[in-house]
Amino acid sequence: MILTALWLLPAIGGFACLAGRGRASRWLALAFSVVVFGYSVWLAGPYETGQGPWGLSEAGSAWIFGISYNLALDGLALSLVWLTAFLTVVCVIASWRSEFSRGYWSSFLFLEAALMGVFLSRDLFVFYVFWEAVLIPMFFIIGIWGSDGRRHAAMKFFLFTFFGSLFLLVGLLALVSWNHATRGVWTWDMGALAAPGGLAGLLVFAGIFVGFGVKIPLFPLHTWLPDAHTEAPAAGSVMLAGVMLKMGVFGFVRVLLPMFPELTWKLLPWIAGLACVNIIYGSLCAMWQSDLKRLIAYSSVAHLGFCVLGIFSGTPAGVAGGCLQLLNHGLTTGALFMMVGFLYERSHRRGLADFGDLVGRAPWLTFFFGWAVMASVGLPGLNGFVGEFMSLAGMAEALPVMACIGAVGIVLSVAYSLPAYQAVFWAASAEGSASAKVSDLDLREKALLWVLCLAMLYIGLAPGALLGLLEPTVATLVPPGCMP
Amino acid sequence: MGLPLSAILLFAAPVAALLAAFFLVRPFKPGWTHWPILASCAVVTAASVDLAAKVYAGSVFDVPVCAWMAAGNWMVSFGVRLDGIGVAVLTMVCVVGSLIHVYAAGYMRSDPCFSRFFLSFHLFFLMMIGMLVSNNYVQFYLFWEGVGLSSYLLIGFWTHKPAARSAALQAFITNRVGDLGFLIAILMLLGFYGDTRFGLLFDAMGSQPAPLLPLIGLMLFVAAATKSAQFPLYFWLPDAMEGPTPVSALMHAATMVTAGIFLLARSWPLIAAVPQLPTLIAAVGGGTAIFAGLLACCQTDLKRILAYSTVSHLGLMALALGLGRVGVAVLHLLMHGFFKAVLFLCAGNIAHGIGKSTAHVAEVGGLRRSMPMTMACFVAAALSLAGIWPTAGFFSKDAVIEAGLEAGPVWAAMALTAAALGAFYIVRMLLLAFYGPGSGQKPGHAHEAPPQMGAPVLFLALGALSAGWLAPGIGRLLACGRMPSEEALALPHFSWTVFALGTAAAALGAVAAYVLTVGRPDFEWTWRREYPRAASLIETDLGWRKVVAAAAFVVRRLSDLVGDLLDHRCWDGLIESLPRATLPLGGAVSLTSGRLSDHLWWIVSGAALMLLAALI
Repeated sequence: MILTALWLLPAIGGFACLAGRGRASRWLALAFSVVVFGYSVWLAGPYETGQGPWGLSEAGSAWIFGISYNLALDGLALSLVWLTAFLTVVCVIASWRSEFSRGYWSSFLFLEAALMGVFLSRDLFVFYVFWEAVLIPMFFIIGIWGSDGRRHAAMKFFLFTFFGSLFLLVGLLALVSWNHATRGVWTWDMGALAAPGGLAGLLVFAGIFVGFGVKIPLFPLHTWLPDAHTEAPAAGSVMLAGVMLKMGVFGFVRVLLPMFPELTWKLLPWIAGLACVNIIYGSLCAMWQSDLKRLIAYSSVAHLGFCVLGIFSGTPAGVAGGCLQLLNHGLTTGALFMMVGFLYERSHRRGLADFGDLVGRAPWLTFFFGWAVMASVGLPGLNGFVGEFMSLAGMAEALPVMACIGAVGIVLSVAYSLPAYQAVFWAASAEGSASAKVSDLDLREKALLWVLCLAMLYIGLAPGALLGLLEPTVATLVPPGCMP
Repeated sequence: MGLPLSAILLFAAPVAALLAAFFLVRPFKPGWTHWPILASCAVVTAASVDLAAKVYAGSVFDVPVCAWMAAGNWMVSFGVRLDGIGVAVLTMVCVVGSLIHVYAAGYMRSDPCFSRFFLSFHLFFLMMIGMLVSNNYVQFYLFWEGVGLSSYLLIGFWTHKPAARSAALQAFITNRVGDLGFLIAILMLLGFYGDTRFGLLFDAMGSQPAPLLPLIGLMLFVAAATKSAQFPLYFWLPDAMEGPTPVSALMHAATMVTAGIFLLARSWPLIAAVPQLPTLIAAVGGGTAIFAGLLACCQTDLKRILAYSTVSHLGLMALALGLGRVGVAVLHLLMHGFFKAVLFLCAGNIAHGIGKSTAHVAEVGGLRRSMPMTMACFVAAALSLAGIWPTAGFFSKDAVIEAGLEAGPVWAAMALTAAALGAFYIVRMLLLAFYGPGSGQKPGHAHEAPPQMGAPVLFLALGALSAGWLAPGIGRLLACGRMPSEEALALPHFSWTVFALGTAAAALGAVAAYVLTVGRPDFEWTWRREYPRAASLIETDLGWRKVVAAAAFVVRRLSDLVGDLLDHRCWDGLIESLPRATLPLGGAVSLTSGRLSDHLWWIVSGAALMLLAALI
């Protein structure tokens, strides 16, 4: 029950919010998200006492076709659980003033429940169910509470990611039936499944890769992302960029890497090349955008490229860095989207040219935004650097050329984020600019951002604790002898 | 061996001061932000002198502090290294930097964003200090980038000025290009040796050279050339003059541009192990020294003259370093810190005196009466820059010329040309500012700077006059720690040939400047009209700025191409049109026509299929 509670609690919270009225559901959402966060932090204690890479696990009895309700928690899952629970609290507090219905609050809790399920599952069937369940609350969040183009964006988001999920489903079905055909047992257990070799293995790999790749998103499957991020409400973008994009990379780490160690190593140049394309292509696209949210969305494409570069490198530093970068990107991009949300709440604009001279009107917003931008461009001392550097260092051991190409991203990242930062916060405001409506942050907003920014600084200077948490998972992924 | 208390204070004092100023002082008394910071400057300076004394007495510290990033057996850690070149530069940075802090407290007094300025200013200082005492490349990179960030905030400090914004952006992006080189070098080193601590790394390098060593060395040079403004990546530095004058002074004298030279000095064992790389560095340095010296002769803004002069002097340091004389390069770095700080602060005083943020040569002139104190300091620093005996600049510049003479006539000619050009532009500036009539109206209301701004300049001017006598002591200090080798760190002895050549070059430049400004007073104002092509060449830095602008244009076009055409129109357009394309398809095989008979037909055929499947 100790792990089930992690997704059951927010799910109950979701129903409670639906039952509550008006302000009550808002308070319920806050209460449940805080309790879940507190619970997830408390879990660190029992987790520490566990043995092996799986600190905690829960096994259910077998159902039909070998499906069984198995949950387990390792360091990677625990850190992502923390991120999810933390960002849900942040989202609830950040949208406190926006008058939204109870459906809004319950959607966030359902989303949290589904995400927790994804990170905890050990059974591929359960994993897939939660994986798909994530789409539903997010579809409503974008489609109902988004901005002007929300309908279109929600539909595109749903169709696109669902399309990707079909590849995943076919891949998983093929994997399971191949296991049944060769070994005579039905099992969906991630640890027990063996991967086919040859062409069949390649096809299964491709199916699962595309399924996860859409979520990350990998070029060229990324076009759903800018629309969804841009049209979603601020808190929706925070969850989308902060946690949902991580599902794809998490899937790679959880399913693909342990199952296909040789194949991933053989395909490494191609995958690393794809990650480099993500970094450079995403950055170049971000440079062209004139809408703050779209710009940050494309920057996510680039940042996730670093994660992929790291985890496929097959080196301890790279895998640990790639996993850590998941958290980093969640914090940094979450903070950025939240601040754009604050701007939008005040002025109903988010174009780069709509603002100007915010340094005079909203110095605190300027300060925090600058901080998050620096974390996002990978300034050493803040969190982004640690993840990017370790990913690149891992890749430098495996394929130095790819590490050099990926490193170009650090120049491009300043080339897209600083002009935008200057245009919004430094430049003189034009006649009729939306800046006039922007007031500085209030205490609630400042408190949220202090927490986020200090977390960035902490991870940037002392990532040891988190890296230690990831260590056992990383060790299982980097078997000695995998490297040539 | 643990860390000495002064090494801890080196970090603790600025961090505590920044926190106190930000959280305790700024919200209540923004005008007092500088007090905790000035206190920290005093502590840091005392600590640096103490450390210099300790190292001079023979104790070299290389102390690991704590782990930073770790995974498996891969690890990057924090650590402190205090050796000869480190503390020598550190002491200069602390002394000069602290005096500039005092000056800045006066200069920026009336700015509405005084506290923001002072916090960024001290952050800049802290980052530089951290860099000088790092014991590994990754930590070095942390502070190196920190220096870049704080310079960005300070160059763009006056956010309302478009030129300041674009200069800040240009500086940061250009520096990031250099940082990319640094990062690649670090990644390769880490990938091959698994460690970046200087001591271990250079030991390992001797027994087991990395296959990519030439690439690593070259990348380090790219990084250093960007930070230390060497051709072709120098252009951000003159533009960075858009920041407030104390920022320019700190950046040119103490904190930023010396970082690149320091990086090369630190990495000397690595650089020297790559064949031809030192020669390349010397050539780029010598070329930059002459190129920037020429441009400095023709600038019309006081601060821009000094900026190009810095580029030229950094070129001289790179020249000496490339010729294997690391000690000479560092000595010139130290002396240059003193006289360049004075020159910038004097330019600041002049601008302050006439009530502007920067001064054009046409707006000044004849200031010798209204600003005698400033002029005295300026003359002292100018003599030092020109390398006249017995000022500080004489000792280091002669050492550079001597290094050139030893290596060959071409190198000597480069150093001497740069020396002559240096004397020319500084004497021209002196005469235009303090003697010349100026072409516009007389700045009649010019006044001497207040004591808070005068005193630091005076102290620094004394340094610019007399620091050279410390050269033998500095030579001994540099050799402490023996990294790089003692031979590379050795300083030359006095020689009459060099003295004669150096003084002659300086005299030549000075006389030429006198003839062109005082002998032909109109020339300064008319040559641009008489030789418009030359003037436009100077305007674009002999055309190089056009190349830079073209490169920026190409990147922007590329992002238009990818972002707009490829991603937005083609790929996303294609995806968006897919649903519409499937519409007719859906119509053709529509299952939901709404007619009951159709539905029945589907149900029956479906059931039949299932039956068939079950039977088989």
